[in-house]
Amino acid sequence: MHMPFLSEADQDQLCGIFADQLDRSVRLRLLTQPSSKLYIPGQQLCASCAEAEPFVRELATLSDKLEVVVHNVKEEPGVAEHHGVQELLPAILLERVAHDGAGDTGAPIQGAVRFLGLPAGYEFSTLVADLVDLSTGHVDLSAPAQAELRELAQDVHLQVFVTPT
Amino acid sequence: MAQLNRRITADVIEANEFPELSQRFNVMGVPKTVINATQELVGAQPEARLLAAIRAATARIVGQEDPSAATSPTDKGHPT
Repeated sequence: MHMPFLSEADQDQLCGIFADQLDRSVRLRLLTQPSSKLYIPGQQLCASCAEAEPFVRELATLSDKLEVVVHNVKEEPGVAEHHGVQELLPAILLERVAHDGAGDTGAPIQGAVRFLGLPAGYEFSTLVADLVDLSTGHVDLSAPAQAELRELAQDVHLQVFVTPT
Repeated sequence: MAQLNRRITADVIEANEFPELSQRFNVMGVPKTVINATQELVGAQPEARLLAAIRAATARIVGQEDPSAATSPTDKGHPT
């Protein structure tokens, strides 16, 4: 058993935030690989993969509007490339669940928010804020900026580097 | 922002977990935002600066320039 990541007080607070603020359901799609106690030379180590699945599942217990899909990249070859994350694991992709309740198509989504590496430190608050924004459709930009970005005809890849402390 | 347009993908990257990627973009301070591997912003920036960087990053594609010819000021190539 894993120790909970969140204290009971934090869980209560998050439950309240999610209950008050979540509207549409949001899916957290985790791409991860099983941890191995063996060190295999040349194999990419995944520093936080062992914690990633219990972390995401614990978070999702706090609201029935949070869904979890877990992909093990060792068991599903090509799934990381399919979702465009390659070796950057663990990856948590945030996806708005279709209004009509249609199932998980597994189709790669553009226009995505993705957390690469475990967002358990300072950017945990970013993850919570992004879940709420995605669920409600809230965008924290001025109207002219939103209009300009809606008209973008080229792909834009924003990579925001952060650290846990 | 990524909600506005399916062309926008926003990654939040734990820099310590991906040292090679962080080194490639010479991440010395956080938050650091890299746009299409060519434009860089350090620190929290006002909306106007972010939009200007996005315009600059996408203008390269519009201008039909070879993206590989665009050199980032921090691109020092592979260390070895």
